[in-house]
Amino acid sequence: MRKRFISTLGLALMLGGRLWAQSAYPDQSALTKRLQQINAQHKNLTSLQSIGKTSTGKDLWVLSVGQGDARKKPAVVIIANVEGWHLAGTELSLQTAEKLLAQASTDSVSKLLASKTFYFIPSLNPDAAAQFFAKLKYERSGNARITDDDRDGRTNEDGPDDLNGDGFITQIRIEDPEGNYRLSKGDSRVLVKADPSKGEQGRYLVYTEGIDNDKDGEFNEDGEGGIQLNKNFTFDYEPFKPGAGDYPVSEPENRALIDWLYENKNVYALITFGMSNNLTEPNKFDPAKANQRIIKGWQAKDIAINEYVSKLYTGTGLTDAPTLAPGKGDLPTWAYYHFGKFSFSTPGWWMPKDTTKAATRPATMPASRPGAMPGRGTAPAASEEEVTILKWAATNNIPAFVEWKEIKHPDFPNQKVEVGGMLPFVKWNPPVAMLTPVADKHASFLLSFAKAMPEIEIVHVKTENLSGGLNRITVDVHNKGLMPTHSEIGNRVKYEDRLKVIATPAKNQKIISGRTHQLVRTAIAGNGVEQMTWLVSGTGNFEIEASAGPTGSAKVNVTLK
Amino acid sequence: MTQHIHHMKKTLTLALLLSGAAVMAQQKEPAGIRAVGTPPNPKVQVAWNRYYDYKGMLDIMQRMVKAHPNLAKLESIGKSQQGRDLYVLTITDMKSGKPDTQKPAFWTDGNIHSNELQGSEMALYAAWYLTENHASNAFIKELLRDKAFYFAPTINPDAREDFIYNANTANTPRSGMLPIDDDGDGLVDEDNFDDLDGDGEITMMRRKSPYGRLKANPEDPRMLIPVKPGEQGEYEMLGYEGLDNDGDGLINEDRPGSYDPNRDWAWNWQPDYIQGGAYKYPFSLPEPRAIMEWVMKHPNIAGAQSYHNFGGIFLRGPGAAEDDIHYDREDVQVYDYLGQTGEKMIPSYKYGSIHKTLYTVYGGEIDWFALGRGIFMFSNELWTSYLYFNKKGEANELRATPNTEPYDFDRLLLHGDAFVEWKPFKHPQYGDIEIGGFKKNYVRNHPGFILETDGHRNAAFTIFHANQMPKIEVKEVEKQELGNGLTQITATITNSRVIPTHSSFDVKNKVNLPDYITLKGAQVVSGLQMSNPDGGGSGFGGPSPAFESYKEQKLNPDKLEVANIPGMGYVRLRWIVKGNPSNWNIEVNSQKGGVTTASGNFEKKK
Repeated sequence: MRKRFISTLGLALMLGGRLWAQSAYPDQSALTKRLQQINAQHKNLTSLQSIGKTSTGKDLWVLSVGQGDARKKPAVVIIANVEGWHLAGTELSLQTAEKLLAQASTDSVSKLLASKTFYFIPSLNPDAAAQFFAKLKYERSGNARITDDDRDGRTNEDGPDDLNGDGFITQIRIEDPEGNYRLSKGDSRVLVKADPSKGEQGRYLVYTEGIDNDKDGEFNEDGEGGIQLNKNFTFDYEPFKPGAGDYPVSEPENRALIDWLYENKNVYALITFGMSNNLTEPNKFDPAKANQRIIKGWQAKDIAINEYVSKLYTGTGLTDAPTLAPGKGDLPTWAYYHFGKFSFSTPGWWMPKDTTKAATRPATMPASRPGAMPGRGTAPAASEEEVTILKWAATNNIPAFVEWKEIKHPDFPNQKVEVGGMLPFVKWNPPVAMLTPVADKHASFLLSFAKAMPEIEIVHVKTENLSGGLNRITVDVHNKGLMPTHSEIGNRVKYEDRLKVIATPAKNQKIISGRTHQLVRTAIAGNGVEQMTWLVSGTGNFEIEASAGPTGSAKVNVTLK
Repeated sequence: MTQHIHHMKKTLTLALLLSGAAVMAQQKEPAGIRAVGTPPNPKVQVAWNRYYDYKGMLDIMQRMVKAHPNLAKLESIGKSQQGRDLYVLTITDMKSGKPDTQKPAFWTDGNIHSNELQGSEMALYAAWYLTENHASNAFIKELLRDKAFYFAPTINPDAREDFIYNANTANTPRSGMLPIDDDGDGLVDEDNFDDLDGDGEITMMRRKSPYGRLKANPEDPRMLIPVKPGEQGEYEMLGYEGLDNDGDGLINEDRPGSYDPNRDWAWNWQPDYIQGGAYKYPFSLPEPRAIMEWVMKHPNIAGAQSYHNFGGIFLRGPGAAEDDIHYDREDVQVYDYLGQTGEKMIPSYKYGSIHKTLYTVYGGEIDWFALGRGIFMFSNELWTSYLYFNKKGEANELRATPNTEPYDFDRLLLHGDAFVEWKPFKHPQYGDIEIGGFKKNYVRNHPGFILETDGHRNAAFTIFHANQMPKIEVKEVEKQELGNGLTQITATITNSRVIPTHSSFDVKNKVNLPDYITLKGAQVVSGLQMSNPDGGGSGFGGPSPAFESYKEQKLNPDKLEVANIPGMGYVRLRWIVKGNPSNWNIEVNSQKGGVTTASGNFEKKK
């Protein structure tokens, strides 16, 4: 602890005492303490549970927010930091929970807390997140499993090396006639890939900061960590790719999550803070992908809901998040395609658009994913985008760049090698203070989302006395929510907890037509109705109950005379 | 029996005495008594014309270990859902100087689908055949010296017991016994079959009805056949024996299990709505998980077979057409050689890929072994209707439409033992019905008298496949002085079997570690491996023949990393060393080719 304090302090001084001193993101022990505090402060509204442990023994926390028995109410799950380096997600999810609880006494919020459950999972990948707080800081996605990322039979043999001893992994650039990078015109500190088709000539080789420790020609391709959880879920999984592992759901973290989700039949939807975005840019319907045997596109009705939820989201002022395409084997796509739930994702916080306007990133391309760093020997995403990040950082007085400084490098004994470049974490993890207004907006989005969730009532209860003591009972099972009882993809999913309608006749009653147990297989749309009818003989109380985990339940009693 | 006492003491003298005793006993037997192919004087007596429950199987395995402590060992690799041990029986020559993990090993499992019983007995037969023949058969002796076998006779013991002890059909449970709400009504396993006539079998329910479109077959009235248009029917079918236990209007719709353990594996895994039978995610069931964890710890497994029924097929991957791209020519040639030989070994059995020959399977065991782990694997679909009368039946193998063969076979060869005669029953929901039909051990599981025959042919195919796992040898080690105190050592390493140390898919994806070939005790300056043989390996029409060319490995040049030692092929390696050594010492450490060490003297070799 003491060591870390000293090194952090040293760093803070060196960097002008801003980023690291200010950021105050919670590490695992601070996160645990904060969750315990929240839980202690709101005993009647929260409960805290560990759903599993990482391989180093860190708890995977779930904070349940709501009144009464959490599992008996429809729930939305908010998951953060699957990536590991996305500390802003962790902080945002915590603050969002805190904001909800702070408003608990207001009428509308208290009503929602009484009828819905909010599950917050602020950090699914705490072992990777720990690199943010370690002596050597870099954006790490891999958990603590020891892996052979480059599949050469050696594990963790070529991680990054802190050549300038500043505690950060940035980049190295080597002046080289074979170089494929040039200096940016917008900011001469930034390196950009030279485009030979435009007659551009490269002058530099660029790698992440380090040495080719195993002499295989690649730099830092097999460092500490691990399996990247967001490459290890079952949808569109790619085996043997770096970070993806040998088979999907191989990790204690994602196994614990999936097992827990399957046990909690009340889960209606998932919202992930991470590196994909269908909240400011809803999915688009692609009939070919939506209808093939292995479905790879959102179903039409789910697209409509996505558009609606996106409006709820942008309506809070959360607009213009960058385009971020989902990754292969990631959590949000698994949650939709394989778990069958509505799955929304957002980076939560992003640099405001006006400062990123100058970015030349093509609209169709996903933004650079810093999580991939330290990369596979090639340089991390160095592009004109960095210029705008640096502008934004400068405007906000955030240290973001390590000036290039010449060093001696054993792999390039006779060449000019410099260490420098963008600091890790800058783009997606702003000073914590910047997250507060964003957390407010997410809290109000969550509330409006919860309000729109399905809710079952039984209406238009009609009894017709036919003749000879025979009664026809007709009811409408009505979804008074704005969203369907489950997703359209959920219509196909075996383990979806569907709406069950159970009729319980009195002892001397007999059902002549109709069933005691009925399952509504297809989702009931928002403000939709499923009509049910029974022919019953005999007098007394006839009970009808409709229930499902994700929708709640409703009950009526009909008295037959 | 007296031999067991000797085995308690493991001294060399006793072992010698023992083998002497075995030879003597063998000599006592007149040559004309022993049928060829049957192990002489088996120490473990097993009846191979019947099926065994969990206890019975364990007893056979324990007796094998007791009778052959140097050839067999038994371990539990995990627990089933209901807490039964999952056993793996290792068969290898444990006195060969190498532990089983340093030999290429062959995995065999059976009974993943619990109703497919014979996989277990056939796996046990193969293990028994190997152990009982070791003393007398030179081929088996060499095989067990070079290779190891891992037999997991049942990888679904819970449901096997359910099949044996509880009323079932020929097709159930298939699944494991994990309680699952199949019909989504919130109740679990609440509407199983009901053994209405209490005979331990779930047969069929039929009802006389003027609207039925079936009638008794005049040739064999036990059988119902469809009536012709215009003809009056007699019966209607009401499905398998059972009641609507939960009053939902459906019969037998929520039985124990009803997922598929063979859709729980991590290659191209798909959820239940795409691949029926899938559970939560790969290895979300305890039995496949235990096997996966064990296989991950045994990268020496180079070949495998999984015993299923039925259809008489040797199935290779892939389970789905989109994975055909992962089976390139080199790998398919290996499968073709093995599969086509198998077709010869078991008459009428056919060889093909799962999705082309059977149906599409996502998340199946074969694909995970083959692609996920780089192991050459088959699924053996044992038993085929060909075996009724040793001819190809007219009816479709899997969808038996009016096919009289099972009735004829039962009548002529089993004298009615496979059939429960139709008997009247008062059904609470259907009224007056009749219950009857084939017993659960018929149509899919072998009749007793064919079980041993087919078990032997199948074991022989397993042994054939296992023998084709890599056999690595160090050959032709030569040296050449280079001057300036340097010497060049060149070694040829061969693989004299069909299966390479790495499948082509494995090489491309680096599934397993490379083969490490180390020159020991020398001061290595540079290490090289042949990247191109003489003539360029091009055969006809290629570029002009070239001389051998070599590629250097800069890191750890003494320990060369070789991507593959091809089947029926070789690799050539070269080290430049300081000085002029008179001896050489080479170790080949190949995950799927085993550990091979060799040493020699240059002068003598000359």
